[in-house]
Amino acid sequence: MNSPRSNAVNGGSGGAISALPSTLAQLALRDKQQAASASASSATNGSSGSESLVGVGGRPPNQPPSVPVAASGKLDTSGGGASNGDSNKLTHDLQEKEHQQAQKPQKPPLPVRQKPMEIAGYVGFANLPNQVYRKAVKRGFEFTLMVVGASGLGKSTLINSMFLSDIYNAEQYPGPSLRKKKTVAVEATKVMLKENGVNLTLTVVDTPGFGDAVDNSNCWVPILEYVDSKYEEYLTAESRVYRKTISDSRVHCCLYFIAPSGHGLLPLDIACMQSLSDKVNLVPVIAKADTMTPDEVHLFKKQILNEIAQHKIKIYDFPATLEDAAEEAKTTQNLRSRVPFAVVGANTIIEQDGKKVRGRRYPWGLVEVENLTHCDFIALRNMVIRTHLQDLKDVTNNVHYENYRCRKLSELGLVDGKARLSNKNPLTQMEEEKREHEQKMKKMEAEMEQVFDMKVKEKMQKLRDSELELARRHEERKKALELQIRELEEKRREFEREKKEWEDVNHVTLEELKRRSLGANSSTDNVDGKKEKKKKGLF
Amino acid sequence: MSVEVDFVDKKEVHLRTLKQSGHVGFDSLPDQLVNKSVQNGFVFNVMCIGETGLGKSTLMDTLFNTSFESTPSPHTLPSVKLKAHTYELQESNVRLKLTICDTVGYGDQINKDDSFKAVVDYIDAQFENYLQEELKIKRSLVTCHDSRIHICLYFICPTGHGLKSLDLVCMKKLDSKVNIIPVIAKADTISKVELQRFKAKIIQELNANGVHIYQFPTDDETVAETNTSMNSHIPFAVVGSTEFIKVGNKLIRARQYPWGTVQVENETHCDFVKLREMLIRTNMEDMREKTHTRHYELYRQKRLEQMGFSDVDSDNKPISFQQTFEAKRSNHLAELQSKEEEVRQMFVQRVKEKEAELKESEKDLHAKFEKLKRDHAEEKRKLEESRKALEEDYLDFQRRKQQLATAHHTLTLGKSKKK
Repeated sequence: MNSPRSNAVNGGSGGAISALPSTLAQLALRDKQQAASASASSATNGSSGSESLVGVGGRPPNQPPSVPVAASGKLDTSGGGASNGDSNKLTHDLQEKEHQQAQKPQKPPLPVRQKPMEIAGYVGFANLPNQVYRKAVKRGFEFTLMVVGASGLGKSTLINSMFLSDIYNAEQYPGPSLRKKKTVAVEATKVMLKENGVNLTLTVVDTPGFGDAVDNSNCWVPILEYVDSKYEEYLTAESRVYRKTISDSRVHCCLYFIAPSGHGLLPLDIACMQSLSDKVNLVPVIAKADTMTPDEVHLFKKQILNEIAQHKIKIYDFPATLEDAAEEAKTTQNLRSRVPFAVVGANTIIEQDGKKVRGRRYPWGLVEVENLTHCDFIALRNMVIRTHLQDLKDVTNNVHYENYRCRKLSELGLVDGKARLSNKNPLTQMEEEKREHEQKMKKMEAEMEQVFDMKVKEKMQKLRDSELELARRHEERKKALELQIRELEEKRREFEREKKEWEDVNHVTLEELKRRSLGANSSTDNVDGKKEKKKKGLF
Repeated sequence: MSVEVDFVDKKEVHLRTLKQSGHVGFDSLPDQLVNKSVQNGFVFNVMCIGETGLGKSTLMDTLFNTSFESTPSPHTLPSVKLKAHTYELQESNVRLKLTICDTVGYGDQINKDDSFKAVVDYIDAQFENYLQEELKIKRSLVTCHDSRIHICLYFICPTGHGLKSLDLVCMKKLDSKVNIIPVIAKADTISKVELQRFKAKIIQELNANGVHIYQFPTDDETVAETNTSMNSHIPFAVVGSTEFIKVGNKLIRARQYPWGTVQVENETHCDFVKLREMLIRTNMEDMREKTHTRHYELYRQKRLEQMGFSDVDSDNKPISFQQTFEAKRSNHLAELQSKEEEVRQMFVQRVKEKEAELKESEKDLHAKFEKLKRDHAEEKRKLEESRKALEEDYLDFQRRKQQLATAHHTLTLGKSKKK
């Protein structure tokens, strides 16, 4: 019978691991090996059977090592979200949210009903970071770095120094100063870099002709347009119904090269940085710093920072990484305090005291690029690449891009030229508008119905009044007529009564009288005959 | 210092691949990313689907070595209720916000037709919440809580005879929406030989019905071998227990029977260890990724198409979201305008009709009163005739009286003559 498997805190002991099935044991062991180093082995190189960490021994001995992960395989991190450097309102809101989230109390898992004596509950989700790590390495990384500054300030040299590669070379890929244009252009150079199994697609964006003209009015506009066009590409890709993996060519970092005048910023610098600071992570760099003494550099830095604050230019604030140990925290703080970085670029490798160094040789001495007492190159490279590359990408994605998207989509919601103060997406807003419109229509219908009813009532009232008037007049006429009829009847009754009285008095009816009258007429005729007879007799 | 030898990927021939002459330091990028993830904490959402009494809650307690204090459910619920609880767990320095969603009452009804609908609706509602956040103008995808279901453990009743109809129907509805891992519950009721046949039967039925369950990924060389092996053990037969017994000097989770003790973490007894390794220790991130890049994207596609969006216009030319939205908005506004005009026209029509009606009434009224007027005039005329008749009668009477008086006089004269 197999022995029962048991797990101790923070992973299995050697015996426990050996008790695992061979594949699971190998998996666990491999995870620990990977976690024990600063980087994972390449997913594309070597077989899964056995792996050796390539390149670990190849590091330059004077390079500070990356932050090592704890040997136990668990990352030594504490809670709390990273803060973002941008300080506009939206960023503040985001920071507040992250702060609130970070402030959430850490609840321990609910207690087990019966606490085991010698068994501790290793669930295993502490391995989740390793899974994220493998996924990230497999995907690879993209980074876009923009360099802005006048010609001759050493931009190409610095880029080549930072990445220890000939991204720019004189023959095939000349630097921006060698590609002068009549107007400011924005050009991108894309290369693939690989280091200890980590693939980085690096895009360097430069601006040949910047500041070289007689009239440099608005010469930063093409730069802004380039930055926005990349945001627009990303927004379009993100908004498609059928989305594939979105290639990220947004500008994650902008190195702004300041001429080592020692007198402060040029108006061009101020105007350009003001325009850029809302859109990209801006890192100011003092170029060709070997032309100034350390004291001059110190004063120049102060002056630059004062002018930046005075003109409300927001530069990238390198957040303190919370996982830094106490000693490294000091180093980090020291490096952060060197902003703006005063740098010297050099492509030549010079041998001195048996060591090869990158530097510039002068009769009065050798300027070592990677010597922190000579210039801030190490600080710049360490902060930008070794500790904050991911944060630069995150701030670009969560702050600058979201700001761009917010502005863009807010325009879609314009109604009669007025911006709707709504955070809902345009679709929901449109549906809401539809509902509002329906309510408005109902209200309008109700009002029209009311007006209609009122007018109908008015007309009906008029009609009724007219009818009443006509009826009244008719009634009056009718009454008058009836009165007359009654009068006439009265007269007739009076007449009949009079006639009867007369008839009674004379003891004769009118009818008899009429008959008599007829007879009387005959008598009259007779009378007339008699008269004639009398006359004849006399004569 | 050694220079690393690079192999150019075929698909990236167009891209210059450069060699570094030293250590630059961007190999720390994965660490930077991981550090940020750890600082933010992780989210994992599990849904347990299965009939009441199959040990879903017990298994969750066992998996996460925590007592989630869930309440046993009776068999009397009239419909399926989705109950989600969220817990904050921490192991070493890794924080996990775990949400366990239970399907209370699943399979208890006489008619189970609507059992899976509640489940599907719940999963879609979580996708919809995320989609609404994504479509907001001012959004915060980083800080808003992601409640999408990353894994669905489907508990199969240990009949030994295969899947029930409800199992097949439900999993078929779910397989395009969520990562499904089928689990044989209470596996200590099946013998080893029966179990192998049962597993084969289940897989055969799933394949025959076109149900796609979650496959542990084999595209990552680090875990390909293990995942391939584990894929052939699906579905896992598990036993859960909240009781501990002492074996030697260790306390282990087990179920005590008179005929023996089933040890949960003994791989010869059940597949619990395999499930835990695969679910939590190896592929948790892949499940989260697949949920986001596959299942959510599928939901989003259908939903946006439902709303009338498309990546091509009527001429099959590519069209952007903004263009579609602008066109849709134009149509929307035109539609609103048209509705408004329609309402106005309707009222105009009603006014006209009413006016005509009222005019008709007025005409009728006037006609009526004209008739009354004529009738009145007629009666007046009759009255005049009556009056004339009376006057004539009166005059006739007067004449007769006169005549009679004259006649009396004549008669008197006649008498005188006689005398």
